[in-house]
Amino acid sequence: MKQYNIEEQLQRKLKERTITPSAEAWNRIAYNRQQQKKKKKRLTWYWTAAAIVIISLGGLLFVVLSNNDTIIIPQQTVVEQPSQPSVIEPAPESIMHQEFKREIILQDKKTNLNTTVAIEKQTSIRQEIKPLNIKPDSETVKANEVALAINELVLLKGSVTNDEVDSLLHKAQKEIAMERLKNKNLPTNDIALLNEAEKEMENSFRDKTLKIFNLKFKTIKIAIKEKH
Amino acid sequence: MKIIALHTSDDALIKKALRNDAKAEQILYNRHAAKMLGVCRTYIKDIHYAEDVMIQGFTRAFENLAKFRFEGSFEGWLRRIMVREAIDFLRTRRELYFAEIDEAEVLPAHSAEPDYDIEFLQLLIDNLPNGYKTVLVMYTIEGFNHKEIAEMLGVTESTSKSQLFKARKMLQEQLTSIQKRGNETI
Repeated sequence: MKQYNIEEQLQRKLKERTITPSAEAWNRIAYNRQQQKKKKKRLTWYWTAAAIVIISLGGLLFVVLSNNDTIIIPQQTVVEQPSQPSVIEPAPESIMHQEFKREIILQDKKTNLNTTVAIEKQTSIRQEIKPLNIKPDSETVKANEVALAINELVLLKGSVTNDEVDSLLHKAQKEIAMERLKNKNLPTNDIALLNEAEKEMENSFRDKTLKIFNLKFKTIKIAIKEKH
Repeated sequence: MKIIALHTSDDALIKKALRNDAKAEQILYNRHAAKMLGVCRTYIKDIHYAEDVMIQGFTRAFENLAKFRFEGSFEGWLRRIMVREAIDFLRTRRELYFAEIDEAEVLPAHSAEPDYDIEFLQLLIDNLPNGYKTVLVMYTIEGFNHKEIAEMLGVTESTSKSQLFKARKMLQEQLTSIQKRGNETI
């Protein structure tokens, strides 16, 4: 009878041995695999959701921080109106904005490595506003002219009558009305329109002229009052 | 005559399985399951527990399939996973312990024996304590060296050697008693 070493027999026979598993073994493996895949999917979703939340929060934080850094300076706006020439509206008030500059001075000492000394400088810059170029309207110009004419009369004669003032005003009103008609370029009855325009502005123009006159030439105003 | 290739290599099936192909996983299972159950059975006496360990081993293998580097054989990789699963099983059931033995002389058993059948050989190793059996199977059947065994079991190399020595001694004692009984019956 042929003789064999027991360990050699164990290796040869048991290493290659096969045992057929039960029929349900694969089903159990397949079930385990499904559970693993579900778990993996769920984990992927959790990670995705977490990533979205983190990115959103980061973005929001960035926006908030960047908004805090910028100072909004009110801008001068140009307002255009169809009937009046362009007027530059002044900014509400002179704007002060402060700019903070941080200068970090690093000092590298030979003996030790104490490094940073920070100095915070605060500089304020006044933003200057250029003088506004306000163009007066034709009515104001005329009112000024009439007030000047009244003043000249007072200086020449020592006094001025109501008729003289009225005639000056009437003349100025006509000129203004004509100017307006020119601006409108309407091809209708010129005289009717002229009368209409004169009526519209009669009282207001008179008040305006006298106001200017009162403000500019106070001394004369007293003299006129005394005369009346 | 047209020849249709029916056999797909393990590597091709693994690549398919990596793309979540459940069918490829099943083919791999069908190809290796019987052998892997044989591996588990050498360590675990109860065939039902052995099958549970095999199922757990396949599940783990498919889960970690991306870690297979296509360097060695898939069977070898799978076999290693099964051995680890079997050791973990014995550990969790507190069936694996290694008694410290002073005599650690490792001498291979050279005695000539008749050609035993596989069931008899299994019976011989089943009669050994789990600690002895595990080291004997890992060393003799799986071909691990003492360093590898020590790492996998979390013991020292000398413990591994002493366990093997004791396992061989017990195995020899069993065979001697069987031979004695055989002679008596004759």
